[in-house]
Amino acid sequence: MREQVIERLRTWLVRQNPEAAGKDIFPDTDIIETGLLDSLQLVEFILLVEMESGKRILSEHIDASWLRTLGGIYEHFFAAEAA
Amino acid sequence: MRMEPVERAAAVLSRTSAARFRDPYHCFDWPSRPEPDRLAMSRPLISLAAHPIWETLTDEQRWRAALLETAAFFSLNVAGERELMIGLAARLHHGTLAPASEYLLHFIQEECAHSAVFTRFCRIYAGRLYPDRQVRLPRKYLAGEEEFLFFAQVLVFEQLAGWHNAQNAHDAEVWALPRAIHEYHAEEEARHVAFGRTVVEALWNAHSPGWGEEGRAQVAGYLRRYLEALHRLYVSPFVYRDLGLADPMGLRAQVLALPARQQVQRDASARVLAFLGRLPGLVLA
Repeated sequence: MREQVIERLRTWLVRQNPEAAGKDIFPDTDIIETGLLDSLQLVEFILLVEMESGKRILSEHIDASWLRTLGGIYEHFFAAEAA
Repeated sequence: MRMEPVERAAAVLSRTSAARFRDPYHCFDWPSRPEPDRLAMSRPLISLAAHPIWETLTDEQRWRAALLETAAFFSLNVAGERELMIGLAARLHHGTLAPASEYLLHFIQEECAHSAVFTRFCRIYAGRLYPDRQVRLPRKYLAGEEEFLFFAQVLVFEQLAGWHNAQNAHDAEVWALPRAIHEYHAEEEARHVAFGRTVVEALWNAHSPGWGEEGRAQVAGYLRRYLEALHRLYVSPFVYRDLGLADPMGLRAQVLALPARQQVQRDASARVLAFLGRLPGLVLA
């Protein structure tokens, strides 16, 4: 489950940002710091995570370090359903 | 920076705003029940109307789709207006727009009133205000770029909204209350657009020569991507989810790919793109 979710998110990131295709995107890669997403793309990414997980990302989450990695997003939004 | 055109526009618009002030709390009739035989949105603007799924929906589902898409549109405006009010308030009495403070106060007051009307409609008839997903991550800007982009993005946002307002306001098939709200919003937004164009032009002329060709291309690229992102926000997967439709994100992708939807996007953005395209050295293609 974890690998499947992370792979779906990773595939979406590469589709949004073709320059990312050759880069390694690990579960702990900071997707903001490494420039994989900017403000405009993050809006779409939030929609994707919310629709896939069924949970809301609140504005106070935006600065949270766990929102910056695919592993962190999985743990906070998907892990409970998978358990 | 040459601000005389901005000051002149602000003086004229301040007088117009004061003369045409409308009390948003008393200028609409709020029926306890919506009109069941009229859609809340002009049919060509309903994102689902051009999709094959529309033919499978009952009249009641279509009515609800129009209502929720209207709520999503109004919610998007509420989110944009909040950011705009914060930005204008920060510029009220210092910086390059300080001489236009009187008009900025009208501007903020009118945006606040719009938000109150939109929010009331959403809460009463749709039972929800769709949450805002827009975020701003800190990044480095060229000198004057952040100020230019703030007003340029506001202009793009308002001209897109204004086009949708006008289409809905002129469609006699649309339920009377949302039509009246669209008409009210369009009239006041026309003043904001006139002011915004003057500010955007002044900021572009003041700062863009210093950015160089590469810098101007970078700013233009960001603005183009902002426009595209905004077009996508007009198609809400949360509306599809609330309508009980399967695979909301997949359906949204299909809707965004429809020629009819792309035509709506071209029509909605034609005027603002024509304006921006006249700024010397701004190439949005």
